[in-house]
Amino acid sequence: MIKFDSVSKWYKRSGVTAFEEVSLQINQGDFVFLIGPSGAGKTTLLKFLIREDIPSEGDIWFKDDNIVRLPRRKIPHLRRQIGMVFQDFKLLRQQTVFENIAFALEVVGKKPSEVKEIVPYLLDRVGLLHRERAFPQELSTGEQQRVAIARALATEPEVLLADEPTGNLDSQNTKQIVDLLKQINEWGTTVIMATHDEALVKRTKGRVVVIKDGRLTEQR
Amino acid sequence: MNQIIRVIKYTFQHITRNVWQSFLIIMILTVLMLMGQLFAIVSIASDRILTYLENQPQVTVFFKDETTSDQIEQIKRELEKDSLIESVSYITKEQAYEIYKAQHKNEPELLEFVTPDILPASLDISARQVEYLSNIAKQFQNNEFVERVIFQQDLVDELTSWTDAVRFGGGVLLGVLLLISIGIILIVVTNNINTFSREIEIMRLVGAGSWYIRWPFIFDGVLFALFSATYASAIMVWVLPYVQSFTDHFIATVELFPPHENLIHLVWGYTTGIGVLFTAVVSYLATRQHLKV
Repeated sequence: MIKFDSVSKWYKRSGVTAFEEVSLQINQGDFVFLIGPSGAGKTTLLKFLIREDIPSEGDIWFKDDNIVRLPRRKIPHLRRQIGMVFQDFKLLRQQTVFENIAFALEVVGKKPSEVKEIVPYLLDRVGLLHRERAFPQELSTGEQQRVAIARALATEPEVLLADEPTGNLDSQNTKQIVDLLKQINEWGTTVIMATHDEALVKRTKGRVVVIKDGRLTEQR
Repeated sequence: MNQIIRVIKYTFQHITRNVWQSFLIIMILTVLMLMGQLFAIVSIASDRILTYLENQPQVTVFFKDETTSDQIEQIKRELEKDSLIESVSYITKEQAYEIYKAQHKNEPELLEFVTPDILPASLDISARQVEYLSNIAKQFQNNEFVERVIFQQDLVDELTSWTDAVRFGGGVLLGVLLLISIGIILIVVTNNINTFSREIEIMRLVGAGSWYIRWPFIFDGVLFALFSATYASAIMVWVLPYVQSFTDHFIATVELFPPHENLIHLVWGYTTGIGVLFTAVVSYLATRQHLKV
């Protein structure tokens, strides 16, 4: 489903090489932990997948499309198939939980009547149906991350990328979020989660890819 | 339909989130549009005066009161044989009075003491070419029947140079106005893009197309142009009749402006059309420059 083919990234000005000859295959339905120290390049690797960044060399395939050579006009379509959640949630503070998710649905052209049906469904899936009228700042950090996940699911993506989704959470909320991501994976969505929390990875079942010094050093 | 509602909704949000900025922009654009309208109106009016003068008999010969109709007719017949002359019209004292009455029909005080007797008979002479005018005029310099000769070439020349100066000055002014407008619209769109950077970032991440993100920002500019054009046109249409009644005292024979009911549509239509097109293009360029989509 996803294939990194000899992907390298370097920065000409600073002369820094972020990745060197990274090759990786991720299959449909996988749950993958992407681990490595801060600055190892986990976020950059995820950004490649939504074409927020492009490698200096190599190809990245998503199904039949080479993401690196994808025309600009096709990027929105790619991003509807690959959802992403972030450590800082990226929620709109002046909009309610319902409106935050409705916002993503409007972007993909859903009618108001469809939005009214889909938002409660998504909130139910992440266990926040009772908080739909709350504003993000009225929620706990764990709840905010669940809203972000619900929003990422709004476009019914085939792949969900999570960039340090538990980085700001306590252990109880971390467990809830990882459990939720596992559940989403069981519903059929491929999940790739970047984290530097090795303890979390050890106690959770899933494929592990380790990035260190711009290289893939371990896959288990 | 959903898209149109969405664009209107976001545009409304942009305007209300920066309400003072929006108010200021509309004020500035209104003033700029008013200046543009003023330049256009002065250009059109001076063009109309020039056209009027160029189409008038360029030499008018007024006769002394004691000159008889037969004598004037005789002069007319002789002039008509001249190859330099296109046409000659004889305006009798009665006809001159009728013309005077028509020109001053709304000013009874000017008609009160005027009778056909005190107005001179005249010949209106059109030359085949402007350069023949001085020769034609010279023929009457020592004529015993002639009271006065009006020779309009100097006036036309002077007006032409004045009109050219107005056009040049207006062109420079218009260029400056356009640059100011471009600057203002760029600042507004960039500022709105910065204000809504988080929404834009999220839109991009969930897969919004570039036009989905761009439209509301372009529509901001269009809406500002629409409001400003309406205000500027309302002011201009309100002021113009006063200007018109003032200019009528000097050049009543030239219709400087269209009838009032057409004027509203013309001024508003042109200002809105040009304003909307201009702001849409500049807003689009601003989104291309500053909106990373």
